[in-house]
Amino acid sequence: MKRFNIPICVLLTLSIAIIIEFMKVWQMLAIAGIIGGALAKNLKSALLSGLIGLVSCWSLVLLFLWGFHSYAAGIAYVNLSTLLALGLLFIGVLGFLSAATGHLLATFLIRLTEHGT
Amino acid sequence: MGSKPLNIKNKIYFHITSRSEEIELKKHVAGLVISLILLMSFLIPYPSMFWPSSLCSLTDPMSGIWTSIVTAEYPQYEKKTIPGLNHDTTVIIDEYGVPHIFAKSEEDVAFILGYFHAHDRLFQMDFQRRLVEGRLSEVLGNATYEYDVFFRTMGLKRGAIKTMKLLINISEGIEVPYYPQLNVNEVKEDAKHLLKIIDAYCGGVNFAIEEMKSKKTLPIEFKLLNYEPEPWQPINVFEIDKLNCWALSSTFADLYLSLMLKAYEIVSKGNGTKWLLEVVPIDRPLDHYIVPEGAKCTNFTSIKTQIKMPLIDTKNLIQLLKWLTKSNSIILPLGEVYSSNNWVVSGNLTNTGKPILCNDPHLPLTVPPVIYEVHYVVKDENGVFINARGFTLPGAPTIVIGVNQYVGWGYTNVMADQMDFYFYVWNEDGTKYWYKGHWENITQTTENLLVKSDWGFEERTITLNFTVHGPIIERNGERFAVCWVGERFGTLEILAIWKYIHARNVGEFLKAMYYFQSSPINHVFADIYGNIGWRAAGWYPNRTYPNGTMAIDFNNPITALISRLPINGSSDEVIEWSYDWITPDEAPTLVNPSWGYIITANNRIASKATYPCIYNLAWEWVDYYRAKRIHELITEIISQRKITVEDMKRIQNDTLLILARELVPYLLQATAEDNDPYVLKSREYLAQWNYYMLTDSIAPTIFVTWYEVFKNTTFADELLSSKEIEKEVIPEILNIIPDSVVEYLVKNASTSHWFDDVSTPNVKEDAFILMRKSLHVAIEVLKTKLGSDIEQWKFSKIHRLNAKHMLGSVLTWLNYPDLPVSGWRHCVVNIGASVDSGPCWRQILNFSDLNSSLCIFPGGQSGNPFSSHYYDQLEMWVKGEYKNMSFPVKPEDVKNAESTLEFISR
Repeated sequence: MKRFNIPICVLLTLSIAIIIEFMKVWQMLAIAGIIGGALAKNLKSALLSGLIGLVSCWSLVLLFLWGFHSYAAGIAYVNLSTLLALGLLFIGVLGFLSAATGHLLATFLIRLTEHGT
Repeated sequence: MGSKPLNIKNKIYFHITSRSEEIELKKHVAGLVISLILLMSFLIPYPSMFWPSSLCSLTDPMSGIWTSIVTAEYPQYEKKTIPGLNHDTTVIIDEYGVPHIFAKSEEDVAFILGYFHAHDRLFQMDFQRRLVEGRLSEVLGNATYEYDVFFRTMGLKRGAIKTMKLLINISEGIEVPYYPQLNVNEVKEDAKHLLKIIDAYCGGVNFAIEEMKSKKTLPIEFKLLNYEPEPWQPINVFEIDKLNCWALSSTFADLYLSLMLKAYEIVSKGNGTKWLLEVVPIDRPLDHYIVPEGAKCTNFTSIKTQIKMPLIDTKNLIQLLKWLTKSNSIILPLGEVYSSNNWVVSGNLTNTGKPILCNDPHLPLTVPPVIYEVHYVVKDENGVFINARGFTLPGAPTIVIGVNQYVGWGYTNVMADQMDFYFYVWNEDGTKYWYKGHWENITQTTENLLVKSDWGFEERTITLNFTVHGPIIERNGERFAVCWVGERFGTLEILAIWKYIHARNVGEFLKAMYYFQSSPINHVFADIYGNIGWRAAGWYPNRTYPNGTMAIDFNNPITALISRLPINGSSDEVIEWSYDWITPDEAPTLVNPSWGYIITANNRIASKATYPCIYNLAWEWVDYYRAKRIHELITEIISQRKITVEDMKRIQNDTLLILARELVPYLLQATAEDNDPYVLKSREYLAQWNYYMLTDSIAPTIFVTWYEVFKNTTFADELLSSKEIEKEVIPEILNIIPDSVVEYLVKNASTSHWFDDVSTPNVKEDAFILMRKSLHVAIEVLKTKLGSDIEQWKFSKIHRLNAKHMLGSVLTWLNYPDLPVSGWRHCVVNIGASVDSGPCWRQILNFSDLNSSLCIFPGGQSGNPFSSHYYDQLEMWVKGEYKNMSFPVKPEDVKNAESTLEFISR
């Protein structure tokens, strides 16, 4: 199985996350993290791709909201800056955890397959 | 080294080749298990908001709080297909977020209005519904449990159910036993139609709720509190009506007066009633009547009676009052003003030749505002044409105050007595009370309450007890039954309000007013034909003895106290409400008075000579100051020239305080020889003052601080020295004592015993000594509060807007900015001391060209804190500015349109 370096994994995680985000079930974002992590070359790359991928996904949506609804978003982000930061932090943690899980699971399965053959 | 099988939980997975690989694999598997556990625990929902999964749900950009950004403004253009709509309907949203609805049936208007109410104010609606039903604890937890018990006891929901049943019965032609005067067949069809309107309205609300749920765009408050609203039911419409009725008619003054009476009995050594009537007179020495002397009114006969001292345990009563007052403060904070101004001037006196009608109801200044503005045009197939504008209450489909293309109206509270308290002789175990010569069992019901907790819900059961007069309130054995019109009977004001929209002239309006029941309201009205009028519309309960004679005797005003003190329910002569109501047709009315204007400001309606049964309506009027000031301004203008809309704007924003104008000269006299530097400086400010309560002035700060100290010093010592009254209830009692009594005593009885401090028996104080002492105390208060530099004591420092969101004590960013606000209680700009109540709507209707009418309200249309309409009218309101109140007939006539929404029927 081919595994990739950080930029590709981040892009991959981000792309999948954006598609999933439209399903409006944030828990599903773990799938993006797991896939991105699974395809990462090493654990460090996996963790970073998960974290950056999911944080970027939410940041992009929030930026998009700001671009199209600048007045409302401006008020929202200023008044709820702590929640904004916490939200990004926690989705980052989700990316981190899901990517770690994905990477460890993939490595485990690869080893299982290799030893099986 | 040979490989060996790895045993993980007794299962052999594969062979490994080295010891280091084995360790690495173990680490790997352990890491995988740990990360899986952490991931799962991260994803598992948890009731606490501070758990990662809750925070992620809350902050998800596509389904969390940020979705309110998308719904903050309506799209520039949108087409929606809606099942349940009869015809295609167009809505234009104007620059202030006000929907202009152009429909082909009234049902469609109701449906669309329901949709907009829900879109802009769903949390407010749900909060109010929960408040009435006593279900706040389900979403807010134990903190609101006592409020729930209070509102369930008072029975706003029971009243709403009775009202809905009443309307259904009328629509089926069933007579109403408690309204023998009501001709059901006259309004049978109207009731049927209104029920359809209510159904359509609920359809609109529920369409919006479902839309928001499916798009995950429910208002931010639901997400913060982590719950979803239930569908809006017709009963909820009646609950909103009852909440309004409660806000206007609930008062615990009867119980406070009984406390005062007991304290005065002790201190005066048996002259309690005399003392009570000195400070709370039935006929106030200084007053201003709505109806000048000479108008003809209905006559009533009655008999004389005696005032009996209720047997009360003051300590327990104080505990009871503390609970009542605290619980009610969720909608009516202590010491705030819930009154209004309205006036109408005939075309003979205006520059346009047609009437001008003004109204500013004074209610709690909340976030979002109590009111929601709407304009709609209906042109149906049967030729009905309505072009109406005004304010609605979110949760109900009718325009409460406003105007159609013919008739406009405005409200002030009559201050009618719609609530009595009964006490009884109880049997030993308190399960029976003596009533009409026998022991009567109390009736009991149990209700289950859900209280939100960290781990779900806790179920609690409360027992509600009733006598024949109403629900029992109790603390430590001190019990009263509460007899409130709103709980005891179904009431039809919603039908009346709906009929107003269909009135085509003042005559039809008067006819519709017959159904306005509770709480009685001073309606001023005018039509495009030039008629003006006023009626204190409402159904007033008559209090009678068992033999049918009336308890309140117009020849003996002291009998009015009967309805203002707790009533002995165990007496053989028990006074009860009869079904012989004073109906709106018998209520004081003026149509086209010869003097050309009518002013009401919750002041006394008329003298006893003008309207003999005046004490059957009310006697706890608001002081005369606002009515007199409006009268002064109007008469001053019309003595010189015709009155204009500009004049009306000036009058509606007038902040002159007559109380100050009357008392400051006495204060200056009292302190003339005082050489304290702060007193000298204060005198300087007060002497130069024009008595306007403006935020950039210093004199208002000194006056209001001094006045509160002075009133307290005058009346608190007698109450406290009785040892019956606790300090904590003094502010509420002082609220009951009219300020005009203070003015009267200072001007006419400066050596009255009220000014003598009972704690200094050897010194005889008079009003002047007390005024001087109070100024010294006030100066110390201000030094502590605002610093020793008197130049910094501007009114803006102590008088700033305090409009709070329902969750604003925790989430302060939801509150409106604390802008400095001019005005005070008794000014035309009637603002409460805590600045959380005041004019919640100002309208000036110009009947020569309704399109040039004006309105404004403190806040904005939207309850969405991210919307540009969250408080876009607030600053204009503070400055006394207005927005145009136009009546476009076609969608394309709406000026400064922000959005066009097409609702297509399916």
